[in-house]
Amino acid sequence: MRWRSRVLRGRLREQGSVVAMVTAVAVAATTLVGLLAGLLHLAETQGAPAALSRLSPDDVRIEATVWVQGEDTGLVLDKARAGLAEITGDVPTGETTWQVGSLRALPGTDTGTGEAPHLTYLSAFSVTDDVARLVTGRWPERAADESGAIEVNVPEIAARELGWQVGARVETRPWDGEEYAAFVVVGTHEAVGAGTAWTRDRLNGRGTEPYPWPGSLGFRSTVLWGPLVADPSALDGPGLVDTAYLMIEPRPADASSEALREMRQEVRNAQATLSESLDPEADGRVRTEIDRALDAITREVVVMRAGVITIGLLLATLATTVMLLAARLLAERRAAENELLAARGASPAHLRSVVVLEALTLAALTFLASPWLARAALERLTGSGDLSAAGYLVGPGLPAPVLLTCAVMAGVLAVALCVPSWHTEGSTSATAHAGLLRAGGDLSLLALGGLAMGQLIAYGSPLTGGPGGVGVDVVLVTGPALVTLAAATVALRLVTPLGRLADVVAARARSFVVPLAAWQVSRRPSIATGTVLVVVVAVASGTFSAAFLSTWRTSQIEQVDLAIGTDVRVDGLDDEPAAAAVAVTAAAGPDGHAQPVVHRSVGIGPRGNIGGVTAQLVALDASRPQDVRGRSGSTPEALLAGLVEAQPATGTGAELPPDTQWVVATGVLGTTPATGGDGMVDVTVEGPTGLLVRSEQRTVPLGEPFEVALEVPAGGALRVVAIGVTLAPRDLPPLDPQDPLGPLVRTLEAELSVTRLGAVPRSAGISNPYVAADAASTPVTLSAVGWSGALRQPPRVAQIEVRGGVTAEPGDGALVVVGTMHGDGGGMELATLLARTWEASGAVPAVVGRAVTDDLAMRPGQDLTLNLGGTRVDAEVARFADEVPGSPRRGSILVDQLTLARAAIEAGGPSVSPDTWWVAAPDDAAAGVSAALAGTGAQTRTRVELRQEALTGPVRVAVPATMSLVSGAAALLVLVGVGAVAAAAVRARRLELARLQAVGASRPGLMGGIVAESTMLVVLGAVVGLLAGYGLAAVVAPLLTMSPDGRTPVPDPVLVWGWAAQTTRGAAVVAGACVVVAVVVALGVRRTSGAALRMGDER
Amino acid sequence: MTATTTARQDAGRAADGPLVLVEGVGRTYGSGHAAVHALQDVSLQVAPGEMVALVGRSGSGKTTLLNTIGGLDRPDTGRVVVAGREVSSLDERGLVSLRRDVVAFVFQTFGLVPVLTAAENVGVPLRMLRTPVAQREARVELLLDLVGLGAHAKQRPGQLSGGQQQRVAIARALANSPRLLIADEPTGQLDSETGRAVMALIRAVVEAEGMTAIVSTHDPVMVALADRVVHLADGRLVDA
Repeated sequence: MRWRSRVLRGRLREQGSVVAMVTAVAVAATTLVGLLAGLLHLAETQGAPAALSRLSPDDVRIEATVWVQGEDTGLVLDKARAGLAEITGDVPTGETTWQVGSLRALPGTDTGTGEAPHLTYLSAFSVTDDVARLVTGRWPERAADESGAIEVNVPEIAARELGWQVGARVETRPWDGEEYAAFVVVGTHEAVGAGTAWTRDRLNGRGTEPYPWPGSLGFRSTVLWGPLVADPSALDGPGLVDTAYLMIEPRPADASSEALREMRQEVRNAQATLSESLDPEADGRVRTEIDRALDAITREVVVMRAGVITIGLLLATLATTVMLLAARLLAERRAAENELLAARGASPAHLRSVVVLEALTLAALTFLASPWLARAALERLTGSGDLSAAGYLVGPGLPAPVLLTCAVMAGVLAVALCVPSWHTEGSTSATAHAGLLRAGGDLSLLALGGLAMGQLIAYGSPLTGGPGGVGVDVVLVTGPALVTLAAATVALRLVTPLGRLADVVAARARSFVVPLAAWQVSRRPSIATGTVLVVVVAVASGTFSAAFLSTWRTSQIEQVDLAIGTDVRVDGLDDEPAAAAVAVTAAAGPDGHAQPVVHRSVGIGPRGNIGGVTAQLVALDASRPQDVRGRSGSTPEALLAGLVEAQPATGTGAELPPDTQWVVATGVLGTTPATGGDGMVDVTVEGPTGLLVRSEQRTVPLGEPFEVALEVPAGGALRVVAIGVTLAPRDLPPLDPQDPLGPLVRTLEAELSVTRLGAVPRSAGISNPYVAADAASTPVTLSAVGWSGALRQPPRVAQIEVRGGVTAEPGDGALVVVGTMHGDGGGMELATLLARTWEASGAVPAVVGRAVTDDLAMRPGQDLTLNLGGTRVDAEVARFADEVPGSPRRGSILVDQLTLARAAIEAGGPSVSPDTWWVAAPDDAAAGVSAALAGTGAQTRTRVELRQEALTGPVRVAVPATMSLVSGAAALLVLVGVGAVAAAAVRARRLELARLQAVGASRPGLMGGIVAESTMLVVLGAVVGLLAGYGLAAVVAPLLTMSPDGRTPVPDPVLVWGWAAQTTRGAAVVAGACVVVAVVVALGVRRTSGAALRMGDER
Repeated sequence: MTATTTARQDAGRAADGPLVLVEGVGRTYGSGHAAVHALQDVSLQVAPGEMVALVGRSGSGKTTLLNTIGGLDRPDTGRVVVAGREVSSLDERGLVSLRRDVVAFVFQTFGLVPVLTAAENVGVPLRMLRTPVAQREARVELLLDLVGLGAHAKQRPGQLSGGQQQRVAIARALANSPRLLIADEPTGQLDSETGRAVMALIRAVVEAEGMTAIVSTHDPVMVALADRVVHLADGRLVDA
């Protein structure tokens, strides 16, 4: 042992710089791989919890709706609580309740009208700022005051309308009983964000609305006021609560993964668990999205893992290659020394033990230093930027995966240092490598890589699905690394022919420098192995990573853009469409533009045959392609072209005064021959955003003058753009045997003459249409210019042939619409006459998504019918599109919103209410739109935020971080690797260089020769690496680019590869490597001396 | 003006004096107690065309003296002048010029570049002088014929015997027509018969090319072939 340590000490003393260099390279390589392992570990352990912590309460809430059925509320809630606790298990949770009391009558509100008394109800829930705003007084602090009156906080509208001041006492009784109870008003409130938490309320937070009297089946109506918010203790006991909502909000970020797994399992049986726990006292229903939320994050983690491992393997391959090159530098020197020692009597066992001791020492040093360095690097990496924003934090101590990875790398180093000393005499690692090549190892590698890539292409993703959920296919993720190595071995095979070519050139050259390089490359190809290998792997890894990163980023952005369709999407606005239009338009501000968008599932089919196929209908303003977002570089203009061609400009019709609430129409509706019966009149108004709203219909008698008031929504400047009537003749006209169309044809002429339009303002405070009809109204100018007529049969008689025409013409200041119908009579019932300000546009032009055409064989120009909740609208296939903005995943149909709305009204249907609002706004103004709509209950999603989330979400942020890391590390490692190879080459050829100097070679000449030699190899490696990187990126990057939930992205990812940038990257590697070689050579090639020449023959 | 022309002019200037002038040269390796005095106050003159045998026991300073003369080592004291150039004060560029134009080495271990053929090895010094290809190939062929290896031009050192390798080394040394040939135990790794042949070759080419030679050797045959024998013992000249 003493002899071994003496040898080791001596070597360390004499060759300290070499040993230090090898150790440094090994430590650097191991640190980088350890860093990668640490990043993956952080993403797994912190990314997922961070993502979990960002889930909204709506995403994780487990809500039990319990119908108390007269039982004790506290008892039933306890049982429900126990049931939900079984589901959540060890996951920490929070809890809130919302109790809705029984209906109670308000005595006195029925006095003198003969109608049913008004109703009210108690409620108890957690009052927070995002649920309700206190207007006056306070919230209840106890069940009842000293007099026994229950403390209640009432809706502001109820207080205003019913004269309830703070301190007022309100007597109530059960709607079906006589047990009077007194309430005392302690304050008033307004609901905030109606439509969210308030969905649990009987009135959705509106405070009041007409309500059917309980048990009357809707034949008797009254008015409901509420909720009267009480202290929860006021609702304890049996019979006080109808429905109780128990909201359990798990905190998954604080739970162990095991607890989360168990909860996920239990959620599958949540309904059964709750029912069992409530039985027999009550019934309940459980509702939650937490299973979907957890599954989505689980899939996202797997997707992230696949990406990180795939890219990480490239870095690991490169790092290992560089480390092995450095190890070879030392091992070859040891092999030579060992032969010398063997010649002096050292036994093989002795020699091997020294090698093992040295290898273990270096491996131990590497293992001791690398994990801490990796941790420090990880700390720095997560200290700022996206990883920091994602919440990544390096904890104390060393993560086990980092330790394990560094241990493996250190083990590889030890083996690499030992193996050459086990070679038989005369063998070196270089010849062994050459032997491996001859044995077809490279071809095997090529075949393996090709196989993995083939499988990857066949599967379309490195993910596998199984009974345990989605997972990473370990074989498929190794494909890129295997292909990179295979490309490197192919490049090695090119060294010899390249050298021969250079040799031929060198033979005819006069100079010495370039031929020296050519001779080395052509006649010592094994020395080229290291340089070419490391450069190919590094350039391939670097360019692939960079391209993958660009492709991934672009795809994530495109997925977001296409999914949201515009800059800001506003959903869940509970207001009437016209009021919503005002709110959204105001929120959009002067730089933005808001538009209503219809986004719903509709039935589609060939004309007249709806069939069972559904598609996602997206109806937007096709005249504003600038508001539509989608694939980078795509042209929404081309997508939307033709959808709006038949649509006239808006702004026609009769302009209503501002603040109009009622449109009073006066006129006559008649038929020839007279049939008796009724007609139902309505008006359609158009708002500033192009939104059409059709009023409720009012019945008027056929054949008599009428005066009806039609309520229009509050929505700024409105214009009457259509007046319609639906006919309900009591008697059909007689058959006309003389009718040229045939003996079984009836003819009916209907005429609607509107002689006056008036407007009653909202400020008049009239809520009754009959009162409004009699109220003073402002005349509205109604010119017949620009109006035309339409006659459509309603859907239910669509099979009945109806022929006829309608004209709209002025007459004595009136708008007259006359329609003549011929038919067997069926189509005359509920036929619609319509006077409107737009010309008949025929079928609605539609862009049809490819997925729809998979279900229905279609061709451009084909007629379609869209079924919008019973209203059948004719459409025509204008063209096909791969994907539709705003609805990329499903089979979708894209039409112009206004064209569709007009067609729906022509078809006799109700106005098509928007399902969502799109706002086009500059990126820096998008957040302002969200802020402006805060508190309205609207859910806003901005493209900017979604992009940010898509790129830097807590889980997926690890993917771009890894790609950036690999890209940078590749550049670093290639310099280290090439430098190590150059140092080894200089050291191995030091005697030869000294002799060449002795025969006249200058030091700069020799250095130039070595640099030229390295340049040839680096250029070869860079070219092959660049091609390999491109090939890999072209094939693999789109396959590895997935949606966050592991599905194929929509739109399809397209490779982002910039030849200029990538070539520049390769050139930078070449330049950097040459500089490093030059420095190493300058340090290594010394002025020749007698001492150098005495060293003996090189090996 | 080419480097060759300059060498000729240098040689002309030194024609009247010794080609090699060594004056009071001392060289010590290490310091203190570990100091090894390789050369101590060595003075020597070698006339143009003279062939000097440098003999002495191993460690007597022969190689150090040769390296000092050839510019591979620098003396601590004294000076060395070769062909009129004070070698001990030449910078790197001057030394390169000296080795290309004036001095040529033949090493005990041959010093051939293993990946090059015999012809390529011989052509190396000519490449350094950027000799035209045709001229270089003709010169290489001539030299290989001179050393009797015309038929082995395409073989690499590893395919040649020790004697053949040394003859290639001699041919390489003669390639740029040096004024001074320094041979450090050129037969040290050869058997006696081959050694004699190599010695005879050196003697022959020195006479044929009209150059000066300093040869360190233990070989009595070489000693016999030399014009003059210089003895070194413990870094000092015993007689000159």
